Amino acid sequence: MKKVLVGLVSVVLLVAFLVAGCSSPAPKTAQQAPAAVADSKPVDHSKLPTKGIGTSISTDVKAKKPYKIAIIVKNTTNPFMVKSIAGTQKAAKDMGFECISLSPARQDSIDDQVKIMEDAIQMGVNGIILHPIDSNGIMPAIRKAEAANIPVAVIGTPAAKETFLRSGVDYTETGVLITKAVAELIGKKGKLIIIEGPPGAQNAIERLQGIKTALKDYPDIQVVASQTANFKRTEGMQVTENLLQKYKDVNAIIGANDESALGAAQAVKAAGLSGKVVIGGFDGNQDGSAAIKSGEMAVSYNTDPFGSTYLAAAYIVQFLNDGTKPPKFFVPFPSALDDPIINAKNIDNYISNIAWWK
Amino acid sequence: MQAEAVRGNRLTGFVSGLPPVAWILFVMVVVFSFASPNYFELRNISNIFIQSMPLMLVAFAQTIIVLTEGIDLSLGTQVSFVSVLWILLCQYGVPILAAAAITVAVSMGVGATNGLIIGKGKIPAFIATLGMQYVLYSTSLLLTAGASISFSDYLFQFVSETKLLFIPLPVWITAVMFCLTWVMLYKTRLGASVFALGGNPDAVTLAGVNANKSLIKIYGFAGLLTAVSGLIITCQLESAQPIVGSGWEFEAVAAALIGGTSFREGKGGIGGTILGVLLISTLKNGLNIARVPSLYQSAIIGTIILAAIIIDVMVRRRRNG
Repeated sequence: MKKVLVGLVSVVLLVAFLVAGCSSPAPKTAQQAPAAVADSKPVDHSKLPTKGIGTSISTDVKAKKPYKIAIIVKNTTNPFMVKSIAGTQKAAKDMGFECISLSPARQDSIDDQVKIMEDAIQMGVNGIILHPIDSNGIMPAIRKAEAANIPVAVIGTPAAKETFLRSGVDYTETGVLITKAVAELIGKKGKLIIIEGPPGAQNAIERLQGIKTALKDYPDIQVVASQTANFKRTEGMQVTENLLQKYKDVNAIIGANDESALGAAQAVKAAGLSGKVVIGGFDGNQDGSAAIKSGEMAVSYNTDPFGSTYLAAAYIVQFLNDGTKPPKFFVPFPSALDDPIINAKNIDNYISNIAWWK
Repeated sequence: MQAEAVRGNRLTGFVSGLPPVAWILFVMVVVFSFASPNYFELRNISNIFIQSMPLMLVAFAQTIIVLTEGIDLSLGTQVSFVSVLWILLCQYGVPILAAAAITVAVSMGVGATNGLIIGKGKIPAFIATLGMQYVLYSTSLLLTAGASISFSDYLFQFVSETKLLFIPLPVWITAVMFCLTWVMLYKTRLGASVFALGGNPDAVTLAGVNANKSLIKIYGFAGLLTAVSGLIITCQLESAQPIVGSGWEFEAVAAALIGGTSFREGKGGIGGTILGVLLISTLKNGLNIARVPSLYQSAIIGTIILAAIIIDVMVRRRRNG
């Protein structure tokens, strides 16, 4: 009896591992988020309900009634999430609605986020701005909100199906624009290292696609290596250290976010290659901005959670006022039209007037 | 003997014998009802119940294991693993109910493996199940490449939205599992061995009971409960979620302790655990509706959990003279 059981259990575990081993590229995972809108015309930005970007954003929209609008984030430790709340709070002050901020007690827990959505519906909020923790898992909760006639605007990670609005950056577009900026800085030719984001993460996958798409226009740029650093600074440093052993003549490095790019910058400095390698990142976060100012990094993309939520709030208030819907489901913000690239020329203005992390 | 004594107490003084956690829960509901007009509504109460069922099942599992003076740190990742395995099997074309049955069997196998390592291998439960936690964590992430997997089937909405006699189906399922667990604990030799393993002097002695075999069955039974929990949460989220259960094992321990189960001497039972889980869920829901910022929430939840356990221990000591 006991031996049979042991045998059975070990076979089960073995099979589980074999299956795991075979299918690591994921058979049909959640990559069915709404298609990016690269094929259609961008929204005319003079028609946005807001002006400006980052902390300088403003609007003429005023709430006709004191609506209750909830901002639901993934956690309260990531500066990106903290500034999403701050953006909604400023929107509440400027437009005259009540901002309710909610976050899972257990960080990044999808089942807690679903509960919070249900709690928000129970509180009778008029609109929800949401950073979904998981595209698929959040859908039942979004359906409940929509059944209660509450518009849901998602930022960053999209929900699996279209909702009232999606804002935040188009990750593919960010990849294209940063790659172009880096390519121009190295004279459209040379050797490039890509530091990828976490395997399986939707935003990292889209950003990498953007990078690859843009590189098609630069046949003289050769990608010598493309490895993951999981969005982390220490991993970005280690990966780059290893790669620099082999490719000492690299001209540029693109990190999938500022953190991994900052790691790459440290490795470049340690290898004595400062000034010889152009480094690009994404987010325009505090340390990234400092690195651009000091010249350790060349470019970054202002992914502006502050402005994105502010814009989403403006669209929700417009809708609650008179039923005006956004021009289309996905309004990327900040997009190419908002001058999102941060570089040595505009870094001082960015830090003093725009930066979302202040 | 133990079982009869416990039931005797329950019948004699229902109200005066109510565990302290029942009073704390009552006070909390009153406070939240005054703090927020939307709180005491049928839909919200129904929300709290539906939301707490998956954790409730894990807490039953943790309670019987704590009664054996053990702990199972892999329960949360078992839930995630069940969610992933079920949906993957469905994707490979296995009919959804057959896939559920296979998943339950595998989950019981995982639990039994825990029991085997602890009993036969003489490895402390803490270490054995921590190892299992790591193994299941990465297995689930490998199987899904780290992302969730969406799958649609009418069964999901049927389970999460059907009501029988005004009561949601997940609550019925949990009630059935409660009865099953109660019968196992108080009406079978296996149940007697749970208390015996916990070293309760009043319980049946170990004589004639094979401790190793009992541990395999007990942890296997816990695997059954986590499997049902995993199936329910998968229906509620309509997708495979590779990390959904992470951390539930600790909330389950907290719920068991709030409910009066003790790490020593096999004292307690799953009845109190129901109240423990409801206390945690009511607290989380109430704090959101009363608009307490999430940064304060964890501290408040922690403080109330501690207070509940301390009050429970003090009251019990006084009652027992």
